This record gives sequence, structure tokens and C-alpha cells, in this order.
Amino acid sequence: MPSDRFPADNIDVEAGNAWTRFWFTPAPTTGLHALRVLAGVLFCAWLLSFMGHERAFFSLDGWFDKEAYQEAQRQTVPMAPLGWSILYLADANTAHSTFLGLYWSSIAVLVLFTLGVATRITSVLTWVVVVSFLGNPAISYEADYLLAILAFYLMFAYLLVGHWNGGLTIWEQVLGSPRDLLFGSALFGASARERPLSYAANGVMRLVQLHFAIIIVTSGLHKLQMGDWWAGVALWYPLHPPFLTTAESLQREAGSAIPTLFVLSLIQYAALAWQIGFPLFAWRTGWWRGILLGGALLGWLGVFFIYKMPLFGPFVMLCSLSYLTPNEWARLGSFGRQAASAVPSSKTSAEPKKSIVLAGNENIKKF
Amino acid sequence: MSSMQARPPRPLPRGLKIVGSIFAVGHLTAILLLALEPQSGPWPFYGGETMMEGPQFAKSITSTLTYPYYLQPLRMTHNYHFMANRPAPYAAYFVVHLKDEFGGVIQTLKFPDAKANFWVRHRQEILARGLAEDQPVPPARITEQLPAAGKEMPTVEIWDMSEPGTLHLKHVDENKVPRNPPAVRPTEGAKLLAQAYMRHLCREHRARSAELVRHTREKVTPTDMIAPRPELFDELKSHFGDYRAK
Repeated sequence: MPSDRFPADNIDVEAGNAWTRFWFTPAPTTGLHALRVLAGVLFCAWLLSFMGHERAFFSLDGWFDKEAYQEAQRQTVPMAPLGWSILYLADANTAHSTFLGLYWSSIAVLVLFTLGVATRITSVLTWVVVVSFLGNPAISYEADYLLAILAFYLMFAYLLVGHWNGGLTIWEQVLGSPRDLLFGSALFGASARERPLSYAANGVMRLVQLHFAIIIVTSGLHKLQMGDWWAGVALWYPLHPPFLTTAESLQREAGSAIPTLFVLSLIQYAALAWQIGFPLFAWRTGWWRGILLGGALLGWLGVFFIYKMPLFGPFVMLCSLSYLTPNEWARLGSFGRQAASAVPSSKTSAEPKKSIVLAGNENIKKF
Repeated sequence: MSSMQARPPRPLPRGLKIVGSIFAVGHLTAILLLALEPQSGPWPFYGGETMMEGPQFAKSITSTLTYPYYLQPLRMTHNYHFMANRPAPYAAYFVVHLKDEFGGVIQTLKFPDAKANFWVRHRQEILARGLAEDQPVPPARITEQLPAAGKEMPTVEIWDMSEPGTLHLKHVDENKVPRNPPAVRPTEGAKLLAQAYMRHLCREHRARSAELVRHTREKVTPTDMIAPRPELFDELKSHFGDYRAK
């Protein structure tokens, strides 16, 4: 069996055109659940980074207070869009404990969603939470809006998944499937790991893939509007912060100016090529995955260490993982289970390892 | 073999596929038009540089239909022309002098705060960049304008260099806006942020008034390695004025 063939190709689906096969082929929900867990961890880390300063950042008596919001709307000041937020429920006159309650409730929602508890409800609440914490123009950071995109698609997916093929009970239709639970197999047995194929999971992952491709290509083409990127010196500036650069440090670097600019321009053009050429390799399997995921990982490291920006990298990495096919996710899962079972224990036996590997392959063969 | 996996999935009805396709195409089109809509540039234009508007079809559909009724409620409002793509022309930090009722400085705070953790410092840097946004002021017209009967000459607020390396906000008549060098002023957003932040610090530290001073320095270019500009390390201080707590 070709290892990279989509497992659902074996299903007797209606012989449709490429459009139908792209959008309406049912897929295992493994990738969706993996994206949920990883995105949930990212959301939690993002919101926890505000801990201790949540009131200053987000309350109506913080950095951007109620008077500023009213003035911004009155003058229609062009700044980061102001919108609705659950945090407005705790205005400047509300007790600090109310605001703290909203903050920690938001963290609890994100944790529950990450763990896969009542995903039909927690996915919507997660989107509400993420969007609510975008509201302050004083600390408005572009990558925060990327998190809202992820939260939206995850909400959309978990509202839809399981209704058509899930065989869910009424309560499961309302709350979400227990198979979504992160440690479901430990609680409900190995059957919890077996998930029915889902049209919604495939459709939403396709939306994530295409939206992300638009983001990457647009950002790459935007860079070409600036001479610094054509000249290959765009990475020079974040590496030489004006307040930290001195005449002495510049003089020291002058001797290696050509090699420095050579390396920087090469790295920068590689990054540009990855961005602008993204649609050409994102959907290809095999060794193209090295370019997709390797480029995302290097970009993460570059954006964090060079630009000192914490969120762009994880977002790009997560969305790059959305391109993995169900076969690739199954292989990853199998590899992970093998690695876990390779941990020495008092009862060592070849049989358990063999059954774990077979369980991973069974999911592929049956479809 | 579980019963869940033995049963092949029910095929989707044609109607659902059509609805799904329409949604997917509409949604992604809205996203794409938002990405096409912004200005581009600066591009060379008749000996100078100018920003060019986005295509009219993208602007019309986005501004009248998709943005207000779909993208904004969903908070998918970013057009992916990231500010981080554009090397900033300067770096900025700001200092706030907190004062008592007699105008004496009781505390001076610097932001970004070197002692704050990475995440807080990152947000303080965002605030500092927001305060550093200036915009050009149209120069005075060649022919002097007269005010309407019974009304005073309109004024405009500009940055005025009262002494070398120091800018103060000053109101001048529209007829007296300097041409050379061209005048600039803080954006309305920057002024709003400055006032809001001073109010916050006054509340937090129980100060009676505050004064915010922005410090900026121009970006270092690769050619500065070979031939550093004399003004490269000059720091420009811009005073946003005092805020008095109510």
C-alpha cells in the first residue's frame, strides 16, 4: 500500500472531481484533535503570560481605560479595532475579585478545551475568551489576531464534527464526544481512541490550510514592497537595536561587514522563498515535509531570537502541522506510542509493543 | 474491529456539499479581498515616493460588505501586512515623571522596564512603538487664508523643536505651519495612548500629575558600519505635556 495515500481513498466515496475530493472526503479526526491540544497549550501560555498584570492590561481602569475607549470611539481614531469583550462586564467600578474571576475562568475554559472536555461548548467559549483578550489597543500585537483565527476554526470544527457520522447520543451531540478527551483511552479503554471519519474535520483543516497559505504569501509579497528586503538587509535592523548599538560595536563589526551581510541576505532570501513559494510545497508529502516543517521551525527560532516576538513562530508551526495527512498523523502517533512503550518497565515483553504498532496500522488499513 | 470503524461513513447529500462549497468560497474570498485591500508602497512616483491604494473591487467589497458584517464581528480584521515586516525608522522608549500637587517629581518610571519579565516588557515595547507614531502636517498654503467672520484662525498642533534634541507640542496658526523642515505631529492614537497611560500611572501611584517624555533614536543602517552618520546616536526627546489627575 502506498504509504502516503490518503486512507480514505479506500472508501467507496462518490467518484467526484478534485473539488469534491479536496473538501468532502471524510478524514480521521486525529489531526484536528492534535491541533486542538497544541493550540490549547498555546492559548493557555498566551493568557498566563499576562498573569499578575491582567488588570493593568485589560481592565477598564488599566493602561487603556474607559475614558480612552469612549474617546477613541467618539473621535473614530484609527487604531487597532475596538470590539466586544467579556471583560467589559467588569468595568472600573467592579471589584478586583470580579475581574480576577473572569480572568481565571478564562484560563479554566482554555484548559478544559485543551483536555477535550465538552468540546462543543468549550470550543465556543475558547473563541469568546481569545477574542475578548484582543480588545486593548495599547498592547495590541499582530500575532494575537492570528490566535483568534485558530480559535475560530477550532470552534467551527468542534461545532460540526460528529453530527453526521459520529453516532452520538443526544448528550454527546450537545456536549461533544468523549472520544475528544485527551486521555480518553486511559479512562474509557482503547475504544476511545477509535474515532469515526468526519467530513467536518477534513473541511475545516482545509480551511485552515488555505487561510494560512493566504497569510504566508501575503506577508511575503508585502515584504517585497520594501527596499530593505530586496537589498537583503531587513534582518540587519532587529540585530542592531539603536539603543544597544554603539560606535565601538559598529567599528568592531566593520571588519566582517561583507561576510555578515552575505549570510544575513542569504537567510533572508531563503525565508522569502519559503513564504512566497509556500503553496508550491505545502500540500506535497515525502521529503517536502522537511521544507514545510523545517522551515516553520527555523522561522520560529528566527522570529523569537532575532525579532524577540513570541507568538508568530508557534502559530506558523501549528498551522504547518495542519497540512499533515491522516497517514502522517497516524505514523506520528504510532511513533509516539512506540517511544512511550520503549521506556523500560518491570514487565518487558515483545507482545505489548507489537500490539501497539498494529493498533496504529489498523486505523490505516481499515480505511 | 470496532463497529464505529466497520461502518463506512454516510455520503454527504449534494445539497450539503453545495452549501459547504459556497461557504468555503465566500469565506476565503472575504479573507483574500481583505489581504488585497490595503495601500501598498511606498513606490517611486514622479521623482518622489507615494503609497498606492489597493484595487477598487477589493476596497468596495471589503469596506461595504465583508468587513463590517462578517470579518469584524468574527475579529478576523488583520490584513496580514504585518508592521513587523517594515523595519522601523527609529526605536523608542518613554519615561513618565510622576508629580505631587506642587509639581515636584516624586518618581520617574522608564518603559520598557528592564526589570519586568519578557512578556510584560514585550507589551511595554508595543506601547512605546504606539507612542512613537507621528504623521506629517500639511504645510501652510502659499496664499494666506483668512478666518471666517467672527471666528479665530484655526490652529494645528505640531512638534516644535524649542532646543536641539527636544520637541514640545505647540499650537500654531494654519498659516504658520513650517514648510522646511516639514512639520510633524503625533497621531491621535499616540496622544490617546499617552493620556490613557498617564491616567493609569497616576491612579496606580496616587500621583497628582504626570509628564510623559518619548525618547527616540534613528535606526542603524549597514552603511553606518563604514561611515557612521554624526547624528546616528543622537536621542530625540518629545514631551507629550502634563496630565493632571481629576
